[in-house]
Amino acid sequence: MDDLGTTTTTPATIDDVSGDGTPSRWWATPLLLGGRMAGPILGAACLVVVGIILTSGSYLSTVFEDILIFAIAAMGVDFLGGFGGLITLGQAGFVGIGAYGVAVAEVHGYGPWAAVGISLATVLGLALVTGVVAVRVSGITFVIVTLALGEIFWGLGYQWTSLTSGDNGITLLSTPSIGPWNLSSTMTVWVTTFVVFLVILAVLLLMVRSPFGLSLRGLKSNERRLRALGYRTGVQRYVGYVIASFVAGVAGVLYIFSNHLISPATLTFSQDGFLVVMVILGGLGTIWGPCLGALVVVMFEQEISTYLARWETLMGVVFIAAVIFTPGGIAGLLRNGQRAISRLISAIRRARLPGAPTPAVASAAASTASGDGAPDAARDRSAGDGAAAGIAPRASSGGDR
Amino acid sequence: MTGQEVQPDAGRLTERPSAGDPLSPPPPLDGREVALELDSITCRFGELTAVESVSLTIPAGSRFGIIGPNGAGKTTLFNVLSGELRPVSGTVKLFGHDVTRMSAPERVRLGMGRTFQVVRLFNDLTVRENLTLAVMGLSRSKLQLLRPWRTYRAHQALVETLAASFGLGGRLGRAAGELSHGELRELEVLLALAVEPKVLLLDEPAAGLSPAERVDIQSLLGRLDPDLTIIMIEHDMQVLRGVVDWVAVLDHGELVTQGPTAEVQRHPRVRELYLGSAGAHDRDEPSRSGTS
Repeated sequence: MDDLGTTTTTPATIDDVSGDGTPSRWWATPLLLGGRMAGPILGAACLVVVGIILTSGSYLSTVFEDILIFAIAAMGVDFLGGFGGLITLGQAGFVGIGAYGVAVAEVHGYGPWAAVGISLATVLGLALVTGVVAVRVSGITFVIVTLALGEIFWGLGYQWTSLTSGDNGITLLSTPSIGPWNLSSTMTVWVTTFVVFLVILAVLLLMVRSPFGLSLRGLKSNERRLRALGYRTGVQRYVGYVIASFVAGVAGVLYIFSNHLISPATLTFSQDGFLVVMVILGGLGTIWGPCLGALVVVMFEQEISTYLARWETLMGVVFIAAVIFTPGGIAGLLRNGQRAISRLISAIRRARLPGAPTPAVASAAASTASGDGAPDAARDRSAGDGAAAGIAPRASSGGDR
Repeated sequence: MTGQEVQPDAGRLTERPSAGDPLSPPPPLDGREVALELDSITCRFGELTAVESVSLTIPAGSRFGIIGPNGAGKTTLFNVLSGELRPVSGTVKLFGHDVTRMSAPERVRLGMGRTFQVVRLFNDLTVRENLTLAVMGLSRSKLQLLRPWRTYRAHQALVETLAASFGLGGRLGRAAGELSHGELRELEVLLALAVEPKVLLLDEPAAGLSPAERVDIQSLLGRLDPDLTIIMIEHDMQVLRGVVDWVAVLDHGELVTQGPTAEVQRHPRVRELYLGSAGAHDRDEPSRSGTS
């Protein structure tokens, strides 16, 4: 296993007959192929599903729009919470500000593009300002402070009627367009939402693998040690908070173009709760896991609710069960499944190859060959490495202990 | 600090060192600049005075030990030095710069590295990730958002060199939480060294180690750059003697005495502190380990 937690497996041969004439397990071949082709197969399946939804223009496409929009906001929560250890309960507030920003600007006579710009600038400005307060605390205090900020945003949306029309909300007046591309079309909204979702997913995945992302993980793991290494951890918290809030604002902009109406209901505490449920149910600290969480929660909200009035109760039960039985969320469940399949494939390979090493030997060999082990062990043996660091190499390697 | 390492009945020395005490003067500079200067540091937690008016002068490149029984204020003093605690009064100067009001990260930039009494690592991160965080601590690239940290080849080369130097080269892919206690202690020291400190604060680096591991860590410390100033808290006198050449003794937050290691060990006050008043008369020298 390398240090990203993935298992490196030796490329397998799927030749049908072994050297000594042992009959092949022909039935295992699809499984072996499936193991190697899992990514492309899954990707192709996704494209097929997306194609079907895109061309349908049905109610389902609207549901999937909501899933993608909430997935974007939930990814923001996961970026800050799953990697930085700072769970925010104010994310729905920024979704609302993103949506209100567009709607209010349009009501005040701005064109749709200008409204989008004003909205994102407002989100960024508010994130920069509230971040100064929010990141002064950590742990449960941070949760409470963000909850309070979210409630302030909700209160403004509800009571500042001259700006927000209060409980009635604001209807979108016009949609942006470039030539034939116009967000008034359902399909264009879907494609735009999907593209923005993919971009945010890619950017956040890149960010969590960046030096900043690593420092966020360090912040979650041991802040005191991080400070003793020269990190002003307030900066990490602040930048993480602003990014998460901005991502929520982007989701809010998409929300208004998808729903054409924004009201204080979008900013309520229950929406914050749903976003956190999406993250924990999907898999904290994965970025992509919350997308699956959003899928489950939105399906509960939009589909199960048509059959069951107490759908929230059922979702609560599912959430509790998930937390107890799969602490890693759906992502953890999938990872466990993937490992189980990997083990099964390895077992099949061993069975197909006579004279193959026993599991213990194979495991040891894999750990030596994979990740950092082999090259570093070699480096251990090379004298003089320490000179660059001003340290002489030790006589015995760590492997001896 | 573990209770078994110091005599539980070690009494407080009520008598403060007099101006004429031969062990009180600071170590001679011998032309070296002063790395760290503490002037009348006092630190209180509510009514409790943890450190009281401690003054020390530590020359650059010296190996300086701090000893004392449990509750003597050693770790509190370290926390004041590293910037985790602000003293009620007094000043801390690092190579002539007054750093009393500076935060811990700012002091790291000025060349101060530290380890902790209780190992503090990023347990759920791998050894490579731990070291990368440390190596990037003083780099601007730590705020880089859109480039994977693994692609910083210079940093990774340094990480691998550091790990290999301390025999952790084969452990780079392991989560820090999976390491043995000895390896954790080594990684703790490595993290502190990765920020290229001029002054290294070691808080009981041999605590909880087996005799063999103690020899390892002593050897490791002995191989550090001679220009590096090391200040070490340690109960194990054998480890201490192998690393430091000057020792300051604290008790109840006060500086009892200081001097060359061998002389301090023979000092009747130190023997009384570690062995009790009876032991001070019965034995020729304090315990080799501070425990038995």
